[in-house]
Amino acid sequence: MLIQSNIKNDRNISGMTKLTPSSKSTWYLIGIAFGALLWNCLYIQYFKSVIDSFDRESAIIFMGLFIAVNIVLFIAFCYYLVFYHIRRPMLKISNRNPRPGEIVAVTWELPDYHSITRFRLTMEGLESMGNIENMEDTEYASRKNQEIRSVFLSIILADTMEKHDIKSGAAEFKIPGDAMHSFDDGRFQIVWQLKLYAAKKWKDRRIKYTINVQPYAV
Amino acid sequence: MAIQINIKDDNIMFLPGDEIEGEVRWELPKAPSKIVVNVYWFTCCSVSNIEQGLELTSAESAGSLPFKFSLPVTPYSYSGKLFSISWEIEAYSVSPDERCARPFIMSPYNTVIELRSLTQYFQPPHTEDYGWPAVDSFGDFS
Repeated sequence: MLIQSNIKNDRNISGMTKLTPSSKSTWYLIGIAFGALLWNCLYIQYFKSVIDSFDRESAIIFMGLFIAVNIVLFIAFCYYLVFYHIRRPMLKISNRNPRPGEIVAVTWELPDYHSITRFRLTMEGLESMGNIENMEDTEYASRKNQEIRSVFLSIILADTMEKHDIKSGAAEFKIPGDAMHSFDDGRFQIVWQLKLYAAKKWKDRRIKYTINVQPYAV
Repeated sequence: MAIQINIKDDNIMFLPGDEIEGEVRWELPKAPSKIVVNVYWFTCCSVSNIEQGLELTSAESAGSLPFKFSLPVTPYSYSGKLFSISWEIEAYSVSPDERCARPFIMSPYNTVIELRSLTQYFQPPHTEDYGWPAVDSFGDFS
């Protein structure tokens, strides 16, 4: 069975659903916000003792460090907010829950395409093995508590350096007709995902979007 | 004979949602406190996931128990590089403890899904142009 994998000219496909990245970028934001809160709370406690001591030199050092760290935290927060949330790529898919044998269309829009030098979109199917603590006697024993992955399918949907194609585009692919559906029992997974890679001058984008391949309709 | 499972028509291939039907026969030295029949799937090194089962208490030392289970639609029987998913029907007795299990395949394709049937679709990573990384060597995706 052939897989269709090509950039399409028709970029206005109806009935598309926006995909949400299966990444942890929101947690970065929460982590930074929590870190800032913790830092400021701790510093306020110390600030009281500095004021009480009326040590001018310590107060200046204290305030300088306080402001510097807060500026860094603010910049980090803004960076993650802009990079991962405001100007992040938008992927839309014709069917978020496809079945084996179905053709799926995908479109993309990259608001920061000016700064992207190369764009690649890959459809991937992989096996994943998580917690293997009870597998001492197996060949994976030396990789205890590591996640092991094995890619069994990889289709390049788009790989371009053209700004026009990076800005927006569409492609379609076919889930192999005899494929395994998405599976997760807590330890072993069959994962189907779209992997977006956008090369930028100083910080590349790598985003994964998980697709839930449904069981074959019997 | 201790415990024996007879599946109707000796079928070992089932479609998702199919009914699996048969009979459990046993002949034990003494009357067991119970006979249990389970249909379950398991991955290697993990516990069984019992989908359906039935239990017969106060059984005779010899007898038979018909069963009929409706299979769920997932997961399919699968054989991969890292793990496999297998289906079995088991019957066991408690005091005396005897067990019998029969594997079967549940798949819409009339065979276990094997990775080698999918590798025909695999496109080898690009290593060619501009010294760019291969598909699989982009590093960790967040």
